Amino acid sequence: MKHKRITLTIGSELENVALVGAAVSRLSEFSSLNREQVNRLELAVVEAVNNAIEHAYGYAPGHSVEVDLRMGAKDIIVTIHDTGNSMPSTAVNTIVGETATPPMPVIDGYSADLPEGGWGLLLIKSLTDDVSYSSEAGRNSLRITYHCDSETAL
Amino acid sequence: MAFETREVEDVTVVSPANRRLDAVLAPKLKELVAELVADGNNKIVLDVSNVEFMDSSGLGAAVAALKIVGGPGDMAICGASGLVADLFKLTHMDRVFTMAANEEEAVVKLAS
Repeated sequence: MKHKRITLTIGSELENVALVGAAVSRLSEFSSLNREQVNRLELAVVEAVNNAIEHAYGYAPGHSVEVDLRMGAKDIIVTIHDTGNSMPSTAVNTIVGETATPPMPVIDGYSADLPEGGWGLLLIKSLTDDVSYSSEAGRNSLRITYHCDSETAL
Repeated sequence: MAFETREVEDVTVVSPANRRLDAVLAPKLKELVAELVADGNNKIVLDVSNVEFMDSSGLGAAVAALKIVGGPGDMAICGASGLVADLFKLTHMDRVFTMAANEEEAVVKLAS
């Protein structure tokens, strides 16, 4: 089954992330993902794009983050590309591979040293059906896959 | 204004003015809560009932605000639903914050 495809490109400023989030959310309505899955997909994509801006580019403006959306009858595949610093292997290992389970820190109650971040990759892993990451010729690609509940001809 | 604030008894209720609480608004939330506490407003409710989208940066700012206020006895989250409620659950932050269904319940919880 052929995938329908669109590529969105934003500049590496946080102000642009909502634009790509809203676009992915709206475009996903053309798939057979249900509303809850669409919301989760938007969050996963936003986390991935935030990561690219924060970690790959270190908040430097003027670079590009590309979001490639492919929608088929059975799945949606979103690939987030950047040309900044690659993700360290320790980070990649938390999201990729069969042995990777989301080690979301178990926190029971308040303490003054609670984390104020670091959930991005774990959320992406928790919110999606499959995640992979590659880095080739200076181009990093995080690919997330959603399986649709039911087959729908697009 | 990115946030609206209102006083309910001795509690300050903070509501994001738009439906997204993301990486753009996160530092502004942290800054606002720091200002409120510096001005002597020691009990804060973050009302997210109008928020449809929140990312981990927004959540991080809420945690930062919780630390500024001093803990869950003085800060509550109210009105979390859908994806926002999922975000709190997935990160176990629903066990950290005082969670309330609505503003009224949040104010009661902070008073007790």
